[in-house]
Amino acid sequence: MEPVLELEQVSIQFGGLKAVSDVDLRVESQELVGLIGPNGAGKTTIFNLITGVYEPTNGTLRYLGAPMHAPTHRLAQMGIARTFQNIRLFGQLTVLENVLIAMHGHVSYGWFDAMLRTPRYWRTEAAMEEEAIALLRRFGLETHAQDQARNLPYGSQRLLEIARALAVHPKLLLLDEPAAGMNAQESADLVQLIRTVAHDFDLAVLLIEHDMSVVMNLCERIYVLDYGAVIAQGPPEEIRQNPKVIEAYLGEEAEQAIADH
Amino acid sequence: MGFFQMLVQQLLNGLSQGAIYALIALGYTMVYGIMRLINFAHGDVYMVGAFCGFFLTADLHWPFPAALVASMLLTSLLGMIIERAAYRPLWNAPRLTMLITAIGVSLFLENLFIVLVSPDPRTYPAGVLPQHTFQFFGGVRFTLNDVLFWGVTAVLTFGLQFFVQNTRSGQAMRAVSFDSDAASLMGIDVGQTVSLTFAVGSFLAGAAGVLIGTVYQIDPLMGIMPGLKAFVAAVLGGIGIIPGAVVGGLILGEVESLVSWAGFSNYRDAVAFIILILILLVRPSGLFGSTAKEKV
Repeated sequence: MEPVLELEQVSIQFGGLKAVSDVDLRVESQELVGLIGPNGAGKTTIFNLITGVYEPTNGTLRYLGAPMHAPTHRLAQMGIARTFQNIRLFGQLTVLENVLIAMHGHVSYGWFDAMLRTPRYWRTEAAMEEEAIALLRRFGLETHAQDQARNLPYGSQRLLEIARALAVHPKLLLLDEPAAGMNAQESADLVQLIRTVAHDFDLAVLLIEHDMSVVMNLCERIYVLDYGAVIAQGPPEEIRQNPKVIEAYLGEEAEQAIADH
Repeated sequence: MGFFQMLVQQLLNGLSQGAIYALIALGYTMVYGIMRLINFAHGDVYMVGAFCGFFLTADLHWPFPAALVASMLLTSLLGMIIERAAYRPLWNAPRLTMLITAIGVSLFLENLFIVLVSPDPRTYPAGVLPQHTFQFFGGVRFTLNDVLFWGVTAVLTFGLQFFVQNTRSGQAMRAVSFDSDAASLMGIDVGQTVSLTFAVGSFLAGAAGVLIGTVYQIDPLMGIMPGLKAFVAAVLGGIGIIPGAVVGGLILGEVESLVSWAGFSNYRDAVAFIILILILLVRPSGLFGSTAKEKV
């Protein structure tokens, strides 16, 4: 079977800086893959390449076996969804609207139906709203459906971001630090949630995360990025032992320790 | 007429002028909301609307309602063409580049129309609208034209509010204005949404142009001053905020009317810009700026 996502020798250069160099990466169908590395290693840049925000300087990206050449919104409609490290909900819209908007890509009525409010329009609207509510219920957000998204507590906003991403009907879900700002218990719940959601929605997941317990518990395979290059990849137990990885992280921790004192 | 009647009369006059400012200001504010651009060519779209209405009624003898609607459709097409031809190529350029381009588009349209239709002022054919004057309250007058101004503005304003709040495209506009990158990552076609925003804004400006043509002479430079004043109105209400543009337009119309009444009609135009300076000094986010932040 074709991998859902495949990066082959992908590089991107900003001026003189090679932010990502010769990265090979694949995510198989239904696989949970982690992407870790010190700050500035190029993790988010890889997300931006996958979502078409950046064009690679070199190399090919393939989605479901086909080379990716489409504007960002088309890629989203094709099933690539993401969440953001710094939450980026549509704060002034309601929780329900945030989810509905992500379903835009597969609305099956046209201008004509919308203008005249034909039966088809109402049927589609009703079905979408039902789906959106079901999605919110799954994340325990249905009671907040009519609240403005910015008024949700932080943890709920993180969940809404995932719900909104699922509304795109993704085949590939990109999660950018979903556990950021969560305590140990919340992180553990999140791991469980992502696992069941990935299973139920038949998703391939690529996850950026600094919280090692989340990555090690959730991911079947991990890529380690340092200075834009993949320095290691493999199952969690292997990554934990890998001397290059330990060095990359120890270096950072040492710097952190100095900065803290 | 007593003082009180005179006051009511001035307020009614101001309401009609304010309605025109409001219709133009809506286009400014929507475009700003969605792409942080002050579209200085917007006043000229209003001028083109006035000329469309003129040619449809004077040369093609269309009935007024048909001419009004057709002019609005033509100006919305013009708005989309301007966006696609002049602004779309500059999406990744600094905002200042786009602003200067907007001034360029404005000068282009003005001069294009001077060449096409000559700089001579025109008047809509007499009898394009039935004339009637209503009187009430001991001599306060308003005309059928005034009623038309208020009615069209009210219908379009509430229609716009419904469109933005309750339709998929309106939702997309709000999402794009809030965070266009996130919107495109959720599958919203940002380009199409921006194009639609220009179409809707120009649609409203077209209506304003045809309405004003039924009362005043029109010429290729007629859009400059109302365009600037509508910009003031949009800033006054809080740029990017739809209800703010309407309220700002109405306030500006009323203030101008009262200033003229007080005997300072020479300072009518100056007052608008004094308001702009004051609002920028005292409350740059506008009247609605800090409380209601709905942007499109």
